[in-house]
Amino acid sequence: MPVHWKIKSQEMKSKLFLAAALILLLGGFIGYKMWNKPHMDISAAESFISLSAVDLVQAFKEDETSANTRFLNKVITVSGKIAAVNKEHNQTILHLETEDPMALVICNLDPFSTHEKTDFVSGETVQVKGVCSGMLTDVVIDRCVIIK
Amino acid sequence: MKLTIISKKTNLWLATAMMLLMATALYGQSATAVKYFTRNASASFFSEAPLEKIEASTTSASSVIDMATGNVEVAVLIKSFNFKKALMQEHFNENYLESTKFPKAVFKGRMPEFKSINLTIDGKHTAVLKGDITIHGITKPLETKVLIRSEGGKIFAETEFELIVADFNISIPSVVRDNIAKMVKVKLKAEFMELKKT
Repeated sequence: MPVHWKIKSQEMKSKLFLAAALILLLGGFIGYKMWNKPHMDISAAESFISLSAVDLVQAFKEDETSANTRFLNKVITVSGKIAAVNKEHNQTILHLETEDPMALVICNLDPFSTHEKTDFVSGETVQVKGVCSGMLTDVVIDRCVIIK
Repeated sequence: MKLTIISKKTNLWLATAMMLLMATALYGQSATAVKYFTRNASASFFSEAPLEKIEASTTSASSVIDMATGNVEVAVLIKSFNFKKALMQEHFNENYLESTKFPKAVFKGRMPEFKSINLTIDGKHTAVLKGDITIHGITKPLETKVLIRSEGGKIFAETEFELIVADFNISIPSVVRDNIAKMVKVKLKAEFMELKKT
């Protein structure tokens, strides 16, 4: 085989090697980025629906399955009157009043966000945005941020 | 004839008296039959494999203890578990636990020796808890020891147990199988309040 062919194939080889290395590096970078993907920014997330704590609990009580399909894992805005504030486990948890004292709306303030306000009193009216996790005895909203 | 009427009457009286007695006895019992409740119990799990340490927790587990029957119930929403890594949380919910299809994990059981435990006075107890746990639509028996402490009307309970991932029909793709531990350590911690019926 002529000499210049050999040179060409060598050139090709090194080019191929470089391309492969680049792809690997890029892949690794994307993989790393995906692996370290941050949690959704709740404050910036768009709320799918805005409703009162009373209506939210009512929807779950009427038909849990359909309420699950409507609200589960969605960013929602809920407003209500604080029934109690709980500061267990280094977290701020707000209980919002409904018509049923046994079925409240529980708002767990987002552990990944910084909150301007962390002190609340019972009777205060708040509006929070968070992700609906479903209903046990109460409807649970996680990763809450206070709107007002 | 007369005699039978009298005896019927006395029978009626006796029956009424018995019923009254039973009612008072039942009432007396229900007065001491206290239920304890929490909606802010913490649940966390932890697993360690050569490559990945997996840890997640939630503080919105709910639980009821009925000291009249020794029955205990714990429920937790799968979606409420927080992971440090968002991707892990996504995989956990979407691929492994399928939390849209199975939103809750539930434990139902009882403490067989509940009668020897008096939670109305301050003290510490260790109780065995026996029952069934349902995760991902699969129910398995579970037995664990619970540490219970009563202090000034509040009840604190704590337990720890291990679960085998494969028991709950959770399929992990073979590519990542070695990165995910086969055993998961679960911790529950709760502060109970007396449940007052209005």
